[in-house]
Amino acid sequence: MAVHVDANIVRQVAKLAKLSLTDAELPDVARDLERVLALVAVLDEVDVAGVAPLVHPHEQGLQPRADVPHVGLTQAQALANAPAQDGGCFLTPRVIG
Amino acid sequence: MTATAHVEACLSRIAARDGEIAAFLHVDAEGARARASALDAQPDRSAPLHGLTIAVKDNIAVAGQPLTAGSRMLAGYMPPRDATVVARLLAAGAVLVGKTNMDEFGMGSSTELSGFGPTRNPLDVTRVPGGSSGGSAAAVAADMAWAALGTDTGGSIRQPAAFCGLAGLKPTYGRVSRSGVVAYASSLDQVGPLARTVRHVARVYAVIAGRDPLDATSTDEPVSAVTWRADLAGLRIGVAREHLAAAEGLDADVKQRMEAALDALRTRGAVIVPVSLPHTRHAIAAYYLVATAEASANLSRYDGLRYGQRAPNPQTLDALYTHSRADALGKEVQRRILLGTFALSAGFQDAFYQKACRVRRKIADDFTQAWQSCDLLLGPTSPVPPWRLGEKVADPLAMYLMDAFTVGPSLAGLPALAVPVGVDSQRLPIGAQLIGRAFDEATILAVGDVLQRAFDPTLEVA
Repeated sequence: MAVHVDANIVRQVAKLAKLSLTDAELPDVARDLERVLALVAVLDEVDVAGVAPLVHPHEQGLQPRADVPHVGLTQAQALANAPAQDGGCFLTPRVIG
Repeated sequence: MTATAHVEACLSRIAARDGEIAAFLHVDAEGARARASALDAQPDRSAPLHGLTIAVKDNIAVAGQPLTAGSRMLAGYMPPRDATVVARLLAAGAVLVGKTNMDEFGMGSSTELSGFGPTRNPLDVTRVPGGSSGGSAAAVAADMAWAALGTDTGGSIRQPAAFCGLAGLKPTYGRVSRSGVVAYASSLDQVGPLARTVRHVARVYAVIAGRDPLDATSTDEPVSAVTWRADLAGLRIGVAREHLAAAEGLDADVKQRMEAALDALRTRGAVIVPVSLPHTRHAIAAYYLVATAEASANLSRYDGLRYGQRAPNPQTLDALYTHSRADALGKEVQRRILLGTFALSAGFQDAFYQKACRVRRKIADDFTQAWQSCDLLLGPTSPVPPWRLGEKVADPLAMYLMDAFTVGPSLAGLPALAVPVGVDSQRLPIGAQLIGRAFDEATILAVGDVLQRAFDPTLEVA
């Protein structure tokens, strides 16, 4: 499927991906994305009518562990790598007024 | 040799050469010395890896050692506990010498895309060691460690092993726990060993393989012991025309080495069977859509809040996310996140991600069809020998195409082993790839051992 990638598509994808891009970066990113999409257009050759997607090698399902309590991270361990914390919590910018 | 003497020899080589090679991001010299000393004081030396040095790729957690996954995003991060594979190595008596360099989050084929600078190939320092486990391969090839752990999403153990003249195993998906391993593409990632010989790879593999309750994708399929063989009588080795005779972009020396490998196997009793993997030419495209789609979800965890870098003075939560990520993630990582996000986005998901998953099934079916007429497959690991630093780094698509033969087994979840089969006309190492049926690592290891020793009869078998 050929897709023309313009600045609006890149802006929307970057927004979804939570990546800050400047307007100056948009043309290069659009060109990169369009080149990769041209590469993957080879998939159009394959007839996949009636073929179910294979999303994971283990189609028999996962093997969760027994549902019993166990010791996880302590609060101190969970916070140890946080770049900003306050009062035992991760610190975010103000989100309400 | 005592563990202490072995560790000191490795540390000496690191001191002598790693300034140039840059295999390691972190060397735990004092920890390794203390561990070796403690092991030497033990009367019982029967543990399977007693006193042997192992380097660990920097996307695998070792408690007390920093973990970056090759990304500036994780500079300064300290993991709270060992990955399951690390705990198993330690229980088996191994000595961990340090953390090895890698392409950022595993996204690359040359270890030039590390946030901390490239690693060089110890066999020719003007060339890349392969990637993304290039630091692990370089560490072993320079005798800085007896073996190393790598991770492989689309070839990241096998290709650097081939580029550095080593053996390297990507186990069957689900064979080895991923608990404590930084996720790139969760339906593809596997941990595996790199070492000088197939037998050394098998020793490490036997320690790390097997069900782990902390990873719901790990299976309790029994891990068979390898039966080492003197000959290959009765074994059928398939050769896909798309991987050799009709392969696109295959270097002439690589092709010649594969033919020499087939001759060696035939001489030892194997029957060579022509097969076809007709969707080989579609594997790169399917792989890059599936892997980047999964990466776009997995890497959403780097939000500047819980760990990793945080942009200075963000005024809003959204600015915190978007600026932290854009500032600290490398360009190739951002490129892949954007591609994956695009492939999963409304309006494009059916045409890209879902289509790639349907082609993925056709690729897996090709292998199932091949198993009707052969027991394993042989072909090249990489279409070309190790290239020069900087040669492909400016052209991501050219780099993607280097994974042509390794991504197929990854998409199908199959085990695959890189085995050294000599050198090219410039004395650069060439590696064959043996691909096995799911959970049949034992066969590719046994055949890989015969193959490696055919090209190096003096190889130690211990």
